[in-house]
Amino acid sequence: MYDICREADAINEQLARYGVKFGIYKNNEFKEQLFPFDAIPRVITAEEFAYLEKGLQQRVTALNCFLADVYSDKKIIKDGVIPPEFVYSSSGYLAECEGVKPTKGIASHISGIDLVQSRDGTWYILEDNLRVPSGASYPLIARDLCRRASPMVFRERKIADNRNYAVLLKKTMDYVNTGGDNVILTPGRYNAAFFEHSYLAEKTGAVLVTGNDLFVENDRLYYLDYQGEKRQVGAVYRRISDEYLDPMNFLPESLIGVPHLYDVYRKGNVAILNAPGNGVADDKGIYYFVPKMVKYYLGEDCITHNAPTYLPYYEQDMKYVLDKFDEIVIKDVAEAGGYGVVFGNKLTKQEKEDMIALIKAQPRRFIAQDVIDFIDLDIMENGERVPRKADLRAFVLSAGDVMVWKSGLTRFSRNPDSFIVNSSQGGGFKDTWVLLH
Amino acid sequence: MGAITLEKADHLYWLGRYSERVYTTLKLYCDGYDSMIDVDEDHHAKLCDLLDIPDIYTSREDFISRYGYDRTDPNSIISNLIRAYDNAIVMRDEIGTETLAYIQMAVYDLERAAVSEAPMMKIQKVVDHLLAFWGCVDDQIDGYCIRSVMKFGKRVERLDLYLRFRRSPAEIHRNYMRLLPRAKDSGMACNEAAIAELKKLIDASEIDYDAALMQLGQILDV
Amino acid sequence: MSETAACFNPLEFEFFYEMQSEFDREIEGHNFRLMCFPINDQRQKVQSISYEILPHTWLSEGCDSFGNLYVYGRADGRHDSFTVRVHGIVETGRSCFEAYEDGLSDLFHHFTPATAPGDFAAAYFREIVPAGCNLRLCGRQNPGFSQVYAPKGCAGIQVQGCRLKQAQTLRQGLQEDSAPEKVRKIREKDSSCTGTEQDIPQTAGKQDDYETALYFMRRIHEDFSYQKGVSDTNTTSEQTFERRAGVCQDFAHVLITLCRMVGIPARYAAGILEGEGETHAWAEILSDGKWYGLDPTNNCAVDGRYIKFSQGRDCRDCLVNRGIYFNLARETQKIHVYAGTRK
Repeated sequence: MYDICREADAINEQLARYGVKFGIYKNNEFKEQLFPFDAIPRVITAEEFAYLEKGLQQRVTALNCFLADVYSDKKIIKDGVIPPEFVYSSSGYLAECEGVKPTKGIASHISGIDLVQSRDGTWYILEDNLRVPSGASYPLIARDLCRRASPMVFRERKIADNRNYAVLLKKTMDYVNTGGDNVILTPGRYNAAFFEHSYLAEKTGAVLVTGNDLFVENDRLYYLDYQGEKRQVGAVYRRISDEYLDPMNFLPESLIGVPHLYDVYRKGNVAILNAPGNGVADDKGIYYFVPKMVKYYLGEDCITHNAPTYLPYYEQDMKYVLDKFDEIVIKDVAEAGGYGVVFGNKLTKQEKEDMIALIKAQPRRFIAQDVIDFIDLDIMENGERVPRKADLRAFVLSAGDVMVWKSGLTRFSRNPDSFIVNSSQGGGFKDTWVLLH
Repeated sequence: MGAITLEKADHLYWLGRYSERVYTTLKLYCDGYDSMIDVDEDHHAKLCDLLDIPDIYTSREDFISRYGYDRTDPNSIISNLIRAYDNAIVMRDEIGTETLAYIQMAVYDLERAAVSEAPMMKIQKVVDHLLAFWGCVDDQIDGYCIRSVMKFGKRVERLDLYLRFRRSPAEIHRNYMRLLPRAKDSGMACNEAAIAELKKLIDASEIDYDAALMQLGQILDV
Repeated sequence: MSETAACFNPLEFEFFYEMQSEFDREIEGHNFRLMCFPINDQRQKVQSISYEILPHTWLSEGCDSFGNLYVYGRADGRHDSFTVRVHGIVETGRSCFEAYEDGLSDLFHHFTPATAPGDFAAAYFREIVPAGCNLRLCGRQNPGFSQVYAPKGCAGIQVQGCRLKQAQTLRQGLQEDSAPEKVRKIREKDSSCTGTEQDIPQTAGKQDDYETALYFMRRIHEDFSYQKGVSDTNTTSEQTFERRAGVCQDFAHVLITLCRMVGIPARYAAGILEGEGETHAWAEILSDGKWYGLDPTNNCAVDGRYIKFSQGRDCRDCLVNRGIYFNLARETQKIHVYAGTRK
């Protein structure tokens, strides 16, 4: 169909040249691995994308409303839409964020929304990632290389250019910047996504820093340039998690954070992207309530579809989970990265009994979903097209306007029997084309 | 360009030093390789002496493989190249993906040389990519300071190695003269006393190589 | 004003807080965060305050999500001692409660790692709350209890979905003076209790929460011994339930755990008490829309003799002094506190 497939090796070679890698720890040793690229793109039609764009804008707007509300007035709890325990017992909830208003009221600046498409063409949201969603850099650099490898394809098909991601990201940082430089705060080069941190810094012109480079003095955040001059920081696109952000306010043993950073943030003197405490909204349990949030805050019906989800917390749902155990997938709300996902029909009798006992003991800890029969995407393997499970991470950037990037990260499982597409578990990626007509 | 942090300046300096170390020692290695084919099988002892590294190598073959490609040998060429890579990878945002790619490719080249029957043919690629790297530095990096910090590192390393190799006073002098403007342009805080002392030693009719090396080693001690 | 809590006249207190840290070797790059400043609320009003922190490179002030004031800063140079002095005048006892208004009451229903109950909390609960008495653990209010921290031994405890009439039963018992005897009586009386949930009014008066908490406080005071050196700031209430001993911080945690177990919002309070000595801690419970202070260490309601520095979910939200610095040094800390009425 697309002659681009023939260039797959050349593109992968280029990706190697540019060091498009992710880090991984094996037997306690740090290794860098190339992120396998498959040249057959995922193609999204213009109509489909128009639908997704509307739906994702609505969803992210509602999630931002929720984050603003849940750390201030809590109307949604008081009005009984979301039970309080789903907020307060969420591991992503931070009491330290109570009453703290992020700059310009935006908490989720960069949202990574994971979707799959079922065989009937319906797109389902798998999860919302509102903390530090990663992956945009991969399709961004791959597009450059694909265009080099198959210029004719791009001449014939009208494909939305996705290479504006850095522009969108810079706009997002600038929008909330309180005065000073933009920085990207990385845990360091031994982080799995270091390629992305450094690549996005290069492309946005933000200064790549580690916690040691930054320091607080009085009410402001600074770094020292190499001539020893203090430079103020106005926005921190942090790629480290909340609990490591500031040893004086969160985990005291954190060595990668910046002491007093949170105090400066609380005073509104620096923006942090994404805001601390966002974990409360991308909790797998809260996911269930997102359509209700859309209705509650925006008064609209939710455009995007959640996968049919059951909360064992509710008696009725518990019954469903027990009845249909072999047809559902169970997810541990505390886990991420494809871990803590269990398919009912893959368990032995003993495992099944143990799992059910665990769900009964800790119903709040799990959600259950119907297994969606989603469309496989073809990949090239040893010169042959073979179908594999794949998902799509759409990136939504909030900077006044809510912007849906006309691309996304399509990840696939290389293992034919696996539904898990995470790069940390050996998955690969594809370019995602949004057609203009 | 924006301002860079102190830590980054340090990475740039050492990126310059290590890539130069690989470049210059590769030439030495290739000459030695040639000599060891049929002229002087034990030439590696002399090389180790020249480089001031312990001669832990048991034979010509051992030297060729370990000094070239053994990542567990801290003095090997690959170890120095990995150090250059480690300093480069954290500087992607300053030197650019395009520039960084040449260091990345040099690593791939050297890995290929390690498993080749005719490694010298492959090593030519490493040298090519290192030269392309410096070309890319000049072509792609706008920040004069950034370039100067890297070149300052490169010049310090070159002079350091040439002093160890006991190169002729003329060559030493020439390399010293190329170092000086970089020290200034880099904006890094240098030990002025050490620079002055180094100049005296190099200008002398007979160079005291070890004393000069010592002064050079203190050039950043302020 | 509430009839159940003692009322009193405002008092004007002068107080000093002094902390002196010595390090056995020099430290540097010292970041600190201090929370030893009285807050303004309905009960107390700060009239003047001054502080001195030495050494420091810079200082700044902040206010956290619980309304606590703190001073943070850094001391760059090498130093082997660190001194904090606070002096102020506070009017206390302006009210015996604080109206609930910050919208955070739900938060104080929930357990934290320091206050999560386990086997020992469950056992103690059974000990002081007779089986027949309708005091039940509240599932809906306390998902943390059974789900998040999932104490192993709690499987046997019935978790119910609503707050029950327990307090009425308890209040009957409380009318008698001797608590242990009283409980035995309740146990005898209620062992034949066959009441079902339908029998229990779902609208138990909010004031009952105060009395339930009062009962817990009295029991803690009787059953736990005040003992220094057995605990530190990382000690959990569960460990204290096992040990049945600790200091004011542990007593406060135990009371907080018990209250949260039955669905009463409870929070931790740190501050100082009239007289000379160290800092103090107690608990506050939310009843009928008001926060009341209860001091299980002294078995009394909090009155004008207490000056509050901070409040939070547990002692970790109220740490008086947080610090990190370079160099491994052993720190010895001396704290001296004085509070007295002004003539």
